Amino acid sequence: MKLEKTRFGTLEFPDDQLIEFPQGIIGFPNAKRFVILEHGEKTPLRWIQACEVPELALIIIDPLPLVPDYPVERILAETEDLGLQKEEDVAVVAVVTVPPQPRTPTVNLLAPLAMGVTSRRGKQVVLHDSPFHTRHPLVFGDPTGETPPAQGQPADALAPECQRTQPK
Amino acid sequence: MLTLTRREGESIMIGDTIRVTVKSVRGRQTRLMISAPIGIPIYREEVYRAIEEENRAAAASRTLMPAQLGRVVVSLGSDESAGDAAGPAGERFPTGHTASRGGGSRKEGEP
Repeated sequence: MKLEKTRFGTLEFPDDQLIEFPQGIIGFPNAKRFVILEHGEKTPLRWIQACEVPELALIIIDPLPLVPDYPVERILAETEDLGLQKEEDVAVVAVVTVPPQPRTPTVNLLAPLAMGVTSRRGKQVVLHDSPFHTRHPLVFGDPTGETPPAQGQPADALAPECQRTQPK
Repeated sequence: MLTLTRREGESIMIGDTIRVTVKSVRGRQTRLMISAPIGIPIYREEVYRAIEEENRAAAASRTLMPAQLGRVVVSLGSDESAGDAAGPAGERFPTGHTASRGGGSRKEGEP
């Protein structure tokens, strides 16, 4: 798959890295296939790039280091239609918004993306009637600070440049 | 557009697979029960709109080429400052030092 005119320029990656979102994501119904972009650094942030909409790329983050009790099981229940059943088989990420300054970056914990690592299918799940909303503020700190960096993001297993094998 | 009148307990069908039932009407509130195939997402409209808006805002995120994401640690700020407020106490996103790395300005002109 070769994508031109993305915000990263031209991207090329093997087709087996694609993740299909049969329902698209809200607001971008035409974006059905995505690829996760890894940047190889120890950062908790990644991109998810849409194939059909080259200008669409979202910053994503593993929500669990931010919210240890994030309702992953409930998210899994919402992905039943995709056949994503086992927790270890599903990567859950939240979408980050970086607005123009001085507004603060936020993370959307109301509507995370859930993706099957082996099925390579995903959807945007909505946590109805939860304490979460679309704009939880994010604090970006120095890597030498006391806040530990996110570890072991399950999304690693989906990243094109990441050869890590997924533990069963 | 179609407008229908229904009583409590009555339903409408949308196509062959979606049924909307009026469970109860109490004052200004109506409880609806929606039965639809799994895979048909159902949202309160304001929730749908909020997510739509946020996805679009996220897609318009400024700066941040992959390299610019760099080595950062991220934590959740206090909830009170969510939205368009000036931001939580503590450090802001350090775009100041990443902006100088260049290359990410392609998206700076908003569509």
